[in-house]
Amino acid sequence: MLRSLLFLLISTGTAIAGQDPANGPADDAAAPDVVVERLETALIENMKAGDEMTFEARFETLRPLLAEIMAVDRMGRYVFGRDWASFEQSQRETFKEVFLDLSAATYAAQFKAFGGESFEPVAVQEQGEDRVVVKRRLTTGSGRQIAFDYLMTRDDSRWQIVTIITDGVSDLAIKRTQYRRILESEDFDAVIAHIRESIESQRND
Amino acid sequence: MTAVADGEGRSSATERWLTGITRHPVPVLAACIAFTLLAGLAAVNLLGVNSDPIAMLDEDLPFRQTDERLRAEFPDLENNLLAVVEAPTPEQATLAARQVQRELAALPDVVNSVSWPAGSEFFERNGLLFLSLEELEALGERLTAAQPLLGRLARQTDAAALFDLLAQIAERSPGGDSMPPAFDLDRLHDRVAGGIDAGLAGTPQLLSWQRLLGDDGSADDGAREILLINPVLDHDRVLAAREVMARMHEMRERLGLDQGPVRLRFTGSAALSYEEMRSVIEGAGLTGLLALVAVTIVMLAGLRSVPLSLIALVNLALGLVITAGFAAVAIGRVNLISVSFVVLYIGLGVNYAVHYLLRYREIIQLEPAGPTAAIRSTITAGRFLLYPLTLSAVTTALGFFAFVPTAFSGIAELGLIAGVAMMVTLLLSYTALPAMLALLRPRVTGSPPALDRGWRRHLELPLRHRWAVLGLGIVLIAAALPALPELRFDSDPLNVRDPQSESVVTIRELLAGGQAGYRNIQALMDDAAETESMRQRLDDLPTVARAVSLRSFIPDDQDEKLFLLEDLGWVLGPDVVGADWETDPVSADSLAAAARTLIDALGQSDAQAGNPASGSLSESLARLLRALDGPNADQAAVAVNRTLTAGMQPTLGRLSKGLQAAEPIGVDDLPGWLVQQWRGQDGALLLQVFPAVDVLDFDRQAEFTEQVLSVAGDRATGGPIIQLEAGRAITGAFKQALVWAVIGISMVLLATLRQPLAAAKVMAPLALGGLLTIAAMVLIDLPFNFANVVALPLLLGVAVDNGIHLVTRHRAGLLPDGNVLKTATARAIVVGAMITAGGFGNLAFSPHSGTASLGIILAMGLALMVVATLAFLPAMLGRGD
Repeated sequence: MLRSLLFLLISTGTAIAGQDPANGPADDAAAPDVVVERLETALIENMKAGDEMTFEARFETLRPLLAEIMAVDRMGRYVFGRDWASFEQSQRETFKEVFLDLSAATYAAQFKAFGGESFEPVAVQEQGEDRVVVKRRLTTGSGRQIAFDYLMTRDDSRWQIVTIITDGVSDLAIKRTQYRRILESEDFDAVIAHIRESIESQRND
Repeated sequence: MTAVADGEGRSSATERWLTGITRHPVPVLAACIAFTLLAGLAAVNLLGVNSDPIAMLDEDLPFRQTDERLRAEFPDLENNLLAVVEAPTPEQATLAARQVQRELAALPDVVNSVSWPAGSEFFERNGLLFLSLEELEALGERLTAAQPLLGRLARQTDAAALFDLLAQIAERSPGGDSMPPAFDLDRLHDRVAGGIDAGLAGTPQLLSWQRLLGDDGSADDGAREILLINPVLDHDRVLAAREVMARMHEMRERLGLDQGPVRLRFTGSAALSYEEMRSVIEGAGLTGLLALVAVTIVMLAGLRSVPLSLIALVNLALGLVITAGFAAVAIGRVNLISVSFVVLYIGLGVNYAVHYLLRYREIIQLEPAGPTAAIRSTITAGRFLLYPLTLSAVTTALGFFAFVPTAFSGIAELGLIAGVAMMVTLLLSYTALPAMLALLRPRVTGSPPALDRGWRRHLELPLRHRWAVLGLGIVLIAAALPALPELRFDSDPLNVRDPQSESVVTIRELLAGGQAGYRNIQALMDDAAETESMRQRLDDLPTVARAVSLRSFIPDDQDEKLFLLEDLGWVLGPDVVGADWETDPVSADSLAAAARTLIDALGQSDAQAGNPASGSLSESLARLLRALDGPNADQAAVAVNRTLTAGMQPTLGRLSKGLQAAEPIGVDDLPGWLVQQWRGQDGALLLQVFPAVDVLDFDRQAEFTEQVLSVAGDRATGGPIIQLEAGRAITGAFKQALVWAVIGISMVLLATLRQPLAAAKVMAPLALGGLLTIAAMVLIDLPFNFANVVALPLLLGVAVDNGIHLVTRHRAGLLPDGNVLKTATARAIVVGAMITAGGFGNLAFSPHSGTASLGIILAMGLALMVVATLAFLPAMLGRGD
């Protein structure tokens, strides 16, 4: 009797957490907006460091963080659609690695100098049990506002970022169109080569 | 000469009868009129019209039961009305269809229900699941490529946002590669330029986002939406849909959809039969008046006497009403074919009176003038004509009665009515007609119009060159014979209707585009498993485009499609998926600012690479700036904002809804209105079989029908089957009746004329005239159809009558110059034919194609029949006494 009552309590608790992922009783470190804040904090710190940090240094601080907070396996599925499942395990791993490299390189290249930027929370929108949109706003030093919407998913009770939508434009959509075109006209290796080229161009930016 | 002796024996009885009639004309006429009034009363109160073509077919035909059941299970299938919205772009069609749907829902007194399947909540929500997996993937790719554009516009749906975005793309600013080359930029620039110009010009046009996002950028032909209306019909009126159609037309005008690029047209069975009846009535009004005028003129010319013409007309009217009364009492209703007994009656009935009156005229001029001259002439003419008129009536009636035992009730009923009509005519010719002559005692002055000498010489031709004429006849028969198997019966009801009427034009377009369920075949099934296996077998037929059942509305591969949609939801993002896509207002100032930014951006990018499309966009933007600087700036901003973005809601709103589909559809999820269309009131399951062939081509349609019947058998029914069976039934009925008529008429002729050769001579011109008529029809490609098929028995009757009159007149002797062509009989034949041709030839001017073709065949056939009789019969008979 006591066991089943306990079970009921636990399952109800999980259900509440599921319904309200942003403010649930789950570990705060795992809450979606907290995950987003970790990324934003890292970016701001990198910018504030300015010339004290090299591209490589910024890259190295971001790369392990992104590996932790980006749902890169999901991104592979969303970028390649039904082809994703047909790739070899090693190909999928390669993609995940270089894609994380590209993400880190992109952030390292774009967020390198501080001009008074700040991120503020706007809203956290729940969209089903394992999906949430964390809406943030980047205000630049000149006062220009850019909407950052983090589309997040929960895998194994961890909230991870699937894509970032900047003023309505989805990074995932852009990548998907680019990579699938290469995949159609060439092959998987060409996609990886293309990503590596992009990383290089970010490094030299 | 036993025949003459018999004739004399009859004569005395006839003379007594006619003497009695002429002594008491008033009570006889009063009795006739009273009887006619009674018949008229019966006709008005009891006679109905059954305009349903299927009602003409034998009730034992296998598909008839299925058809009855179909009507009982799915009462909405028949008498529907289709509202067809057409527009230059899909968005305008959708918006107009929404408006029409709203308006129709507000007319409950004339509209039972209205459904717009394509615009229904169910299909908006689940529409994407009905795409094939490949189509869905392709759509996903196009949407993904357009995501940067859509994502921006979802947040701010106005023209200024669109300009800003285009400027950013031109500058390649947001992230450098945010606009992948997948999106055809030239096309986008071109369309936006067009949209700006249209907005400024005030033309009702919207930038089509469906076209822009679609893969068929070149396909700019119009878009179409179809709404199904179940109208309130008033079956007590001949034009049951009159009120509905009037309200529809009024609504159309109010919405401004009666002309211009976005228009609304009506078709469907209710509209088709409404317009058909209207064209028949309009045609009847015009041609009826023309006919009356023409008949009166010909009668006056032929009879050369006002009272004689009046007598003929009154006699005709009496007979017509009595026949209608008989039809009302004996059958109760007329169908599409038997309704033409009116034509038949006038065409044949008038001959009896004309023969009598012309003979009266011929005799009275030989009689010494005196108070009894008219009476004596009436009696003598009647005595002379009893034999040929009776023989004509009996043979013609036999010809008509021969149709009674056929399986085609349309023709069988006509046969019965027309056969009895011949008896009525004969009776009136010996009651009302002599009574009127005795009452009016018309004096005839002057002779009938004489032919000049030249013409009279031509009358000698058949006698002088007997063998040449007979040889020519044989040559003509031989030449016409091969045409016989070429003659078609066109059972397509569309082909008898006014080809210019809105409903016919529209349904033809829908059929040509494969968009109408108008020529489907329906099959009724009892359970789901049976339906599915039958659907599969029908679907495999080469002439079948697809067979659809309720289960067809449960999409295939739902799990995979839903998986794709889920992925797509992640890729496109919540803004795109969740947006309402309603146009946001924009101020003239912010639009002008955005336009300036875009012009600058385009200028810079053009400097890098010459781009003609953006060149025209820059010009359009410059025009917009001028307008935004002018006095009507706000108006211009609203108009341009609308043309550029109002098209988003119909397309992207539906897409957004579709992208949110998350659950697979089961049979229980199908909406009630849809289930109702496929599951009958008593549980029968409907299968709709759509043709893959051009059903406007009769042979193709027949092939489709045969194939479906070979699989579905007596479970199938529908228009194409009815047409096929009706065509067969009519052809069969005519063949069968023709054989019986020829046998019956030949036997009567043999029995009365007592000479096989004489009987053959009467029949010969009939064969020749008939063959020539058929050859002429084949030559001008005029098939028989429901409306004109009546011409055949009419021509048959006229030809037999004419033959009998000429043969008996030839036997009676006292021929001028021994030439039967110079008698009153020959004259009566010509006058009778001219009256019929004059009366019905102008049917050719009816807007109703079927009626018009009847006019052509009658005029042509009568001419050929009369020429055949007048040229070849005398040649066969030779010179008489």
